[in-house]
Amino acid sequence: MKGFKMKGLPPALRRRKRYIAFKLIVEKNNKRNNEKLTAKQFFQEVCQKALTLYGEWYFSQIKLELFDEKSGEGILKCTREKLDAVIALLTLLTEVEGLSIAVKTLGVSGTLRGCRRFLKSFKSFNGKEINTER
Amino acid sequence: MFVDFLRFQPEECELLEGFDFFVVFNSKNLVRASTTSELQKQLKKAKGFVGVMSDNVKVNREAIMRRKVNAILDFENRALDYTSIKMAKEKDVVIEVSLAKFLRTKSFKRSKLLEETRLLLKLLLKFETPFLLTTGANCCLEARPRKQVYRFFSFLAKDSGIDSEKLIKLAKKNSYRIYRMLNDENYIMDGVEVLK
Repeated sequence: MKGFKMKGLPPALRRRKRYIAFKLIVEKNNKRNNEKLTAKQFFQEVCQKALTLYGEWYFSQIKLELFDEKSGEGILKCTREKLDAVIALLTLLTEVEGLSIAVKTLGVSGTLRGCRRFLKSFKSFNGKEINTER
Repeated sequence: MFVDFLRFQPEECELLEGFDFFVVFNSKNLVRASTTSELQKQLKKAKGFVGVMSDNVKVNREAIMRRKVNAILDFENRALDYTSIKMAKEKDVVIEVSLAKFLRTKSFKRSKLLEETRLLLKLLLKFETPFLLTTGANCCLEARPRKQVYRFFSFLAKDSGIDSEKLIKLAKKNSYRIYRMLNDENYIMDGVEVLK
């Protein structure tokens, strides 16, 4: 989807952008034999969710920039002012095309190059259970 | 130290990144009641860090007054009133504010929940009632990393004119307090601890 772009805009008038690196976690052993989601399906769901949650006003400031289908990782582009709103939106995503999913945000950066670093290294969970029966 | 309240046993759940410890609520320490008499019966059997889940305001108020109850757990239909939140501060009962209830609901129900949570956060900050921002997940896919959970509630608070920095600061402080309460044998209460 190509958005409206005005050419030759001086840097001071350009909108500040942020890139959000994320990982898509799809339900294991799903009904569709571990079928993977396509970038288009995911993008449509993000758009739909943005429209229902925030309306058309916010939706105009969200753009899907990159999505790697193999690893389930991707980068989402948005304006700096709406960063928190987009992260809240990703947090609330639970289903795409009937498949249960969860989106884990890996990091935020002002450049695409900076954002790609987050895709390479993310930590795993190693929390411990507290025994409350003492 | 960040503590999360869960309703399942996480095994290799990478979505819980950022939480150092978790408390699992199962049949032993989770009390579900719709009447006060039911609550009293079930509390006799409960052990450990006890959490109560109820959609009845009277039951939740009664639970806060009970010494055995440590937390009022969050779900879609939880009912809390002004006096219960005020009383929870005095009785040192933790009020859970979970993210999973928003994931389990949609459209109108979710918008109602958002409005309720805004008001709840306002009151929690007003009385400085102990509260915890958690995932409250029933399964691994309902879990979210700690930063994402805190960012969501910070955004919700900021959007409603609530001091989001204070909210996160208090949530972190309470998380550490609960960790010490459950893990540190020398800790008795805030400002009172056994020094060797």
